[in-house]
Amino acid sequence: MDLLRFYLNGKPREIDFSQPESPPLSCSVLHYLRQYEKLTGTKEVCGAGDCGACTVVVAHADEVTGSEKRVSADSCLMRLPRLHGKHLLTIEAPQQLLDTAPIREAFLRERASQCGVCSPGMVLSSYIHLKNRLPMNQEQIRRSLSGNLCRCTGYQSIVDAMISLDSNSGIKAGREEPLDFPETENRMHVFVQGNSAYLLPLTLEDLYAARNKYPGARIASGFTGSCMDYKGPVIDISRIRELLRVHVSDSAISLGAGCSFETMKEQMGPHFPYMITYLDSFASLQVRNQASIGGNIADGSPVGDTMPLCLAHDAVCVVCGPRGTRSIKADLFTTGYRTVDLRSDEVLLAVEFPIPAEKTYHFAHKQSRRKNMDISSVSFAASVRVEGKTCKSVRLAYGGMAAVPARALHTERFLKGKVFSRANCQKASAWLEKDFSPISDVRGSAAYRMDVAKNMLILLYESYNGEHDGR
Amino acid sequence: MTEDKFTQYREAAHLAGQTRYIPDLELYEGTLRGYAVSSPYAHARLLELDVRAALAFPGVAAVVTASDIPGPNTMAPIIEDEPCLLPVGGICGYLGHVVCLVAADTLENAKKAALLIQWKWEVLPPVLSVEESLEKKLFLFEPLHLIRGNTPETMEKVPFREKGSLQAGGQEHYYFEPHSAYAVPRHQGGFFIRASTQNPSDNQRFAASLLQLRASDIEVEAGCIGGGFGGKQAQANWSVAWSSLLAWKTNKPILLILERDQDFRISGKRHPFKATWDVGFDHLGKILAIDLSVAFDCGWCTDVSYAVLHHSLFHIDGAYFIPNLNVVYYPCKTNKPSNTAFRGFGVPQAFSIIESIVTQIAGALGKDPAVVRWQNYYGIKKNNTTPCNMLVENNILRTAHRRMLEMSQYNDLRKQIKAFNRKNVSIRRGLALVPGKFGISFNESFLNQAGALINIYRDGSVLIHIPGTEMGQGLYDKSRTVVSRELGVSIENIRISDTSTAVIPNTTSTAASTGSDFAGSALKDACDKLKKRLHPIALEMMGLEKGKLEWKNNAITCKEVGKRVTFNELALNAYMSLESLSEKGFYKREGIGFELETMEGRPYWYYVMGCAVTMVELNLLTGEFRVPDVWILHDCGESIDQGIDLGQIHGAFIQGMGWCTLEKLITNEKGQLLTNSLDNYKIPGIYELPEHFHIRLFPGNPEPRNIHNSRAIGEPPLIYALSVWLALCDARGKMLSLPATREELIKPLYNEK
Repeated sequence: MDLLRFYLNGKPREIDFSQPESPPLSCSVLHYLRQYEKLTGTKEVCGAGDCGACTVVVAHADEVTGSEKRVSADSCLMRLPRLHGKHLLTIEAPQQLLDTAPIREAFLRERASQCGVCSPGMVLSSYIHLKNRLPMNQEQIRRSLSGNLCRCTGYQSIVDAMISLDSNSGIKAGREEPLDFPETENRMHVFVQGNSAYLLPLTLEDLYAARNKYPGARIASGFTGSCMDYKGPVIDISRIRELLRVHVSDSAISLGAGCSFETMKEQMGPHFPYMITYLDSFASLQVRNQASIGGNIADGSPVGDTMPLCLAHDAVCVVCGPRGTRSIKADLFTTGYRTVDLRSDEVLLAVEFPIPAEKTYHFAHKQSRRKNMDISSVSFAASVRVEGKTCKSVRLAYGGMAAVPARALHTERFLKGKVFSRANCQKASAWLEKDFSPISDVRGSAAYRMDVAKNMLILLYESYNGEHDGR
Repeated sequence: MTEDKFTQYREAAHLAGQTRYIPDLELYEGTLRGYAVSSPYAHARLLELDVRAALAFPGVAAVVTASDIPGPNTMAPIIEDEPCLLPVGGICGYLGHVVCLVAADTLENAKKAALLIQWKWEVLPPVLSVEESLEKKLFLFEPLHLIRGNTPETMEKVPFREKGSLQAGGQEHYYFEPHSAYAVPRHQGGFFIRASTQNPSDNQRFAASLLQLRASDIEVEAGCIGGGFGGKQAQANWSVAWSSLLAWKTNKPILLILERDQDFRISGKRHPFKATWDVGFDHLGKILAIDLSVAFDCGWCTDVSYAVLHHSLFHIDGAYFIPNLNVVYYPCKTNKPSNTAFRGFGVPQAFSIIESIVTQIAGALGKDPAVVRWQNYYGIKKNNTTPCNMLVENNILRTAHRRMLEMSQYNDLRKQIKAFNRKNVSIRRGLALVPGKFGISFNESFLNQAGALINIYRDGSVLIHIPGTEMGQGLYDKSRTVVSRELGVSIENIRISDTSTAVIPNTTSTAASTGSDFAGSALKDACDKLKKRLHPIALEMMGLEKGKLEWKNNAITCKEVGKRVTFNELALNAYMSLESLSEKGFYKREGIGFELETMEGRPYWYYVMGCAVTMVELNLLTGEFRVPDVWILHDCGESIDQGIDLGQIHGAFIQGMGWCTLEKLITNEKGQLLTNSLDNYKIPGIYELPEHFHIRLFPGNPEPRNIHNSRAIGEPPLIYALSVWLALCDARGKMLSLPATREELIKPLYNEK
C-alpha cells in the first residue's frame, strides 16, 4: 500500500488514502485543491474539460534527461493519484516557481479580465505559451488559448495582452527556480482505499499483475473520457513504458497507444502535415496533453476522431496480453457500437501507420458545431492515390455516420479506376446513401450528416486540386 | 507597475485567483448545503408530496415545501404567476420547476435524500413550441399593440409589397458563476445573504415577504459576481429565497449553488420568437407600412417578459422612420423555463426582425441593403419621431453610416466580393452593414432612481457605496473614476465597497445598461454636496473669506490667490471642526414613461447609436466561415473609461455572434433540455474572434443628459453582431433563421453542375 507523493506550489504533499480523512481515490485535482487545500484560485465552471477555467500546470522530470517539463491540464479531468511523482502548480504558486506576474500585468493593462472567473485559467494557459517561447502571433495565441473559454471579454483584449508581451522577455530565464520532485521508487505503485484501488503500473508485466489482482478494474490512460466518476478500482496505464514508445522506420510509424495527442502531432506532423490542423481541432490543448490516442481508439466510439485516420491510412492496431501480441487491421478493430477486438486480458499496445511507397494524397476534416473543442457531427479522413488523372486507390473513412467509424466501401469502389475529378466526386456521393444511414441527435440531423458526408468528397477533391487548404 | 498599484484593481485580484465568488467563500462552521428539487415533468399536476423519507436520511437537517413558507408563496416580479415552491395541487410549468428544498451536511447527502421524496403527478401534455402556444392563445398577459398611421389603407396603395417571416432561438447566459447564494441567520434575528445577483433589493424584498419579515431584517450583499448578462436580474431571487428559507428552517448558514446542468435546466434564457410580416415600400426601398406579428416564447411564467416585450416593441422600428406601422406582440406561454432578461432585453430580437425586412426589400428591388437602410433612417428635422412619438435627438445615424462606408471601404469591398464570388464555387464572401439605436432607461418610471453614499475618513481616504453590482462590466472602476474626477482625488485613494442593501436601500437592478449612468449620477450628487459643505472649511484653512476653489491633484486650490490645502488636510480639519464627512447622493430620471393605451410617451432618456460592417467568408461545403473583418463605429458620448467601453463592445459583439451563429438550444418532445452543458451547447471560443476587429468610438457627440456626458455601453453593441448573420445570409444568398449554425449554412453542392 503506497503513499501518494507530489509537490504543490513548492511544498511536499503525502497522502495516505487509507486514512479516514483522506480524499477519495476518485477525487479530481480540482476538487482536492478547492476542498482539501482550500485553494480556490482554480475555478470550477463546466466541470467537464470544456472551458479551461480550472487549468493548472503539471510539471514532471523527464525520465531520460531529468529536465523539468511543464504542461497545462484541466484539473477537473485529472484524478489526484495521477500527480504521483509530479509537481502541481496553481495560480497561487509563488512567483519564483511560476512567474505569471508579467502576464497578469499585461492582462490588467489591456483590461483582459471582466467578471474574472476564467482569468486564472487564462493566465496559466498564457503562461505555458510564454514558457514554451511560442511566437506571439494571432494564430499561435489562438491555438494556445483555444481551450479556455471566456464569456465576457470577447477575447480581443486577451489577444492584445498577449501580443503586448515579448515572448523572449516574458518568462525571464533565471527568474524561476528549479522545481523539486518527490523521490519515488521505480516500480508499480498501488494506492488503496477500502475496496477500491488506483494502480500505476510502469511495465506491461506490472499491468498483467495488476489485472490479476484486480480483475474487472477499469483501464484508463488519459482519464479525459468517462472514467472520472467511476468509484471502483482503476489501472492507470499512462506510465507504461512500452505504451509510450514511438518507432519510425522507412515503412511505418508506430505510435505507442499511451502517446498523447500532442505527442502524435509532434511525431506525425513531419510526415503528414495535414494531420496537424486536424489534430488541433481535437478537444483542447489541456486535454490533448493528457488524452491518449489508444483511449480514443479502444473506446470504440462512433465519433472517436482518431479511427477515421487509422482507417484511411490502413493502419494496424497492435494489441498485447500475457498470451502474446496480435496485429489487427484498423478496419477490423472496431467490432460494434463501443466494442473493439480486445480480449479481457489485452490492451492496445500501438498503432502502426504505414508510410505509403507511392505518392498518396491525404485529407481529413472534422465537422462540428464549433470548430474547436467540440464533438464531431461527422469526421472524415481520406487517402487517394492518383496516377495521371486516374484514381488508382482510395480509402474514405467516416466517423459519426454509423454505429462505428467506417469506410465508405461502395463509394470507394465507384471512384477506383475512374478519373479523379469534381464530376466523379459528385457522382460518387450518391453511393454514400448505400454506405451509411446516419441518425439524428443533438449534434446534427441525419440529413445534415449525409449532406456533410457528400460534400466531403468535393472538399477532398478541391483540396487535392489545390483550390484551398480544406479549412 | 509596483505590486501595490497592481492590487488597486479588482481585475488584479481576478487574475491572481484571489477573488472569492460564492463557491469560493470561507464558510462559517456548521454551514449546510442547500439543494433545490425539481419536477421531472414539463407539465403536470402535483397530487401528493411526502418528504418524510428524505428528512430521515442521514445528514439531512430540513426539507422545505410550499406549505412551510411563512409568508405568501410568491416570487413574481411583475405579474402574480410565479410561486416560490410548487404547492400540492399546483401545476408545474416546466421540467425543472422547483418543488421543495433540502438542507444537508453535504451536497451529496442532500441529493441522495432528494431521490427519496415520494410524489404523485398527473401528467399533462406539454406545449413546447411558440406556434402551438400562439394557436391555442396561451398568453401570459394581453398582447401588446403598437399602431402608427393607417397600415391597412396604405398597404392598398403601396407600389411594392413583400411578405416574410423569421424565427430565432434562445440563448443560455452561461455566466461562469452559476446561480448561488450564502444565507446566514443573524443572532439578533433576520438574515444576511451574500449572493451572485444583479438585483439585491428585489432579492431582499422577496426573501422578507416569504419569511414574513420586514425588508430591514434582510441584508443582501453582492461582491464581484461571475457574470450576469441579465440572467441574475430577476432570477437571482431564487437562490436568495431558497437559501433564506432553508436558513430560516434550520437556523444554520446555508450555501446553495446550482449545479451547472441544474442551472441550465432551471433558469430562463433569451426569448426565442417567430415573426411574420407584410411590408409595403416604394421604388427607392423606403418603407411605407409594416404589418407585423411577433410571438415571443416566454416560457412558463411572466418573470420580466412583460418588460422585455415592451422594450422590444419600442425598438421594432430599428433605426428607421416607419410612417405606418401595425405591430402586435404575443406573450406566448410554453412549458419551458421562464425566459428572462438577457443583454439586449428584446432589442436584438426586434433588430433582427426589422433588418430582415430591410434586407428583403433590398433583395426585391435588387439594391444593396445598405442603400435601403440609408433611405429609411430617422431624419434630423423631419421624420424624427419614433412610433411612440418620442423625438430622436442627437441623431448620428446617417453620419455614422457615411463614416462607416469610408472606414470599411464598403463600396470597393462590395465589388471585390462580387468578383471573388464569381471566381469561386465553394467559397462565398458576404457583407452586411447594420446600424444600432438603443434606448436607455427603464420604461417603468419608478425604476429610474438611484442612491449612493460617500464616506471620507479623517485620513483623507474615501470609501464609496453604489447601488449597482459589479459583474465584470467595470461599474466599480467607472464609479471610482467619477468620484476621482469630482473630488480631484487620485483613483488609488478611492475604495469601493461591495454592494449592500443595508447601505444603499431600494435600488433598481443593475440592468438596462444603466449601471454607470445611475451610480455615476448619484455619486456626483453626493460629491456636489460634500464639496459645498467643505468649501467654507477649505477657505478658512487658506485664510480666505471667499474664492473659487479647484478640486484637483489631491488638493483644493484657490488659483486667484495661489493657496492650496491637501485633500487629506481638509478631511482632518473638517473632522476636527465637527463637520460630517459622509454624504448620500440621489439621482432620478423624471418624465420617463408611456401610456399603456396608446404606447405614446418617452420610454427612454436618450438613444445610443452607431454602425457596423462585417465581412464573412463562408465555405458552402461545410458551413464553416471566417470573419476576416469587422468594423464598428460606436457612440459612447464622452467615454468615462475607454478601456472598459471597448471591452464591452468586444464582449457584446462576440456574445451576440454566439446567439446568431453558434448557440443552439434543443429540447426534446418531453420538454427536456438536451443541450445542458458546454459539451453540447457551444459558446464562442477564441477562434470565433474576428481576424481584424476595427473599432472606433464616435467622436464629438457628448450626451449632456448623462453623467460626464457619457452614454451607456453594456447592451447596445450586441446589435452589431447581427451584421455577422446578415453577411452570412448575403454569402449564402438567402435569409437564414437564427442561429445560423453550420447545419443552416451548409449547401449541398454534390448535385450542382
